[in-house]
Amino acid sequence: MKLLTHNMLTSNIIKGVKNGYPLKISASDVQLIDVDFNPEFITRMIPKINWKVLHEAAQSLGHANDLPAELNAEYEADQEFLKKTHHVLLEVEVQEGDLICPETERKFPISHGIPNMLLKEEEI
Amino acid sequence: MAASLKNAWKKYILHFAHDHLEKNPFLEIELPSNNAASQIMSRLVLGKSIYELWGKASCVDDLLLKLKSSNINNPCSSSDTSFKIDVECFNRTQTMEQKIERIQLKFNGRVNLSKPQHKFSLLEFYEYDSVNPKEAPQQVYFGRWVRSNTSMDPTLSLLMATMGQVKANDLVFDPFVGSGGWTLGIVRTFWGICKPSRKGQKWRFRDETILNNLRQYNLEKHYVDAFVADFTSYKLWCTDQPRFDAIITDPPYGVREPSQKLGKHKQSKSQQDKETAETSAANCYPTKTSYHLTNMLLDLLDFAARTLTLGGRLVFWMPIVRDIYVPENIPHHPCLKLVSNSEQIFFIRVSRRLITMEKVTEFNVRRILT
Repeated sequence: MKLLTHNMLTSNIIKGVKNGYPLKISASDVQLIDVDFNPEFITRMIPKINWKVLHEAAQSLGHANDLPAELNAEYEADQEFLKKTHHVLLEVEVQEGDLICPETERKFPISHGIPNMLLKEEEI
Repeated sequence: MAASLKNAWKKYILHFAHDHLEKNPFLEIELPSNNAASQIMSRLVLGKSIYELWGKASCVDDLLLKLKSSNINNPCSSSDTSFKIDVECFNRTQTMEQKIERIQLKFNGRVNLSKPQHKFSLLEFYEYDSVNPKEAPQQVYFGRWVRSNTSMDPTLSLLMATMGQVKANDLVFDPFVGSGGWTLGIVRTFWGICKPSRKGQKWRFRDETILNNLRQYNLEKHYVDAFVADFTSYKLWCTDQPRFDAIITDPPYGVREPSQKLGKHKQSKSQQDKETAETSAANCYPTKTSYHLTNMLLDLLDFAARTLTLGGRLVFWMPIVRDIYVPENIPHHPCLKLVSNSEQIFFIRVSRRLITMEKVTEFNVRRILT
């Protein structure tokens, strides 16, 4: 699971949960993979993501490095910044662990890099 | 100079892969070379075959006369060459005898049906008439085969991408991705996301993943991520803002699945009940199917209305029973405008429609409720 995916998922699917965002991450295996850097894609992605959530997620995994906590208004021209964003969005991959609902602590397992967001019948 | 160049251009006949019976699928064009024809075919999503046009007429006899009197440089003029001639009729079937009767051309080469050096085709277009098929063709063509596009299915995935207007760096989502079949078709053009959320996904092989499928084509850099979920609710997503430039999908309607289930032997009672409910919904009780189908499609439209960027497109397949289909069957949503609705016929009674919708209004809960 990439942090881009984490940035979009909620646990509001659980019956009764109102604020299931952002999900907490508990990771037992995080891998760094190489993904070709495409500045245009990253520039287009930034307005679509919740920056604060991305920054906190990267920090909780220990991979925020010197990623700024606030988004700079002129990020489009800042190649270094786009590279760092590229790294946390696409190259940090949670292989094994859990996504955790912030309200109920319900765990969604991540196995072989794929989060399983399925619920039991009584949870819907 | 320009005139002489223009003269060097040859006529070609392009055979489109469409099912619209009332339209002539053969288009006459001029191109500078066979190489150019081949290049066009390699990019043409709906092109079936292209031929160097040797002659056209309104009946086969005229056509044969024209061919005899024309001074085309026939590559089959010497006896050590081999060839074959296919007969292809649109809106009309012909028996093998009728076909053979039509192609009494005196070529010097040998006939070789399996591995000919040169392939020719007689193409006949009949005006569509479902009650009394026309006896005489409207137009006939004879040409030398240049190139065909092999398979329809990858073509369809390219068509889906085209309808979705997928561009470089778009973020594209498939809520029912399976092993990523169609993404192979479009992934060339985008750097996007393909996330599956399909309940009860089973792996046939451990390494049968979307990523591995893409890797075979060296396209893995276009892949973003995947997860497993039940696609019934937009609530899975943080919908504070629209994110997807396109949503392109072939939802699991349970039309193909039942045939795989027939072969199973012993099952637990609950499993049996579950599967019977699924199969009967698809096979025996159309009212149930349409209810089920409608719900799934309404969920899909609702999801698209919330998560597509303005101007973004939703593209999906929808199975149709042709006897009872009316355009009103296509679901609608106040935020989505129907852009296109095209049919792929499977059998006389069954087809599927490729529906394309564009998000034209920002999603607003109040507007939906009132």
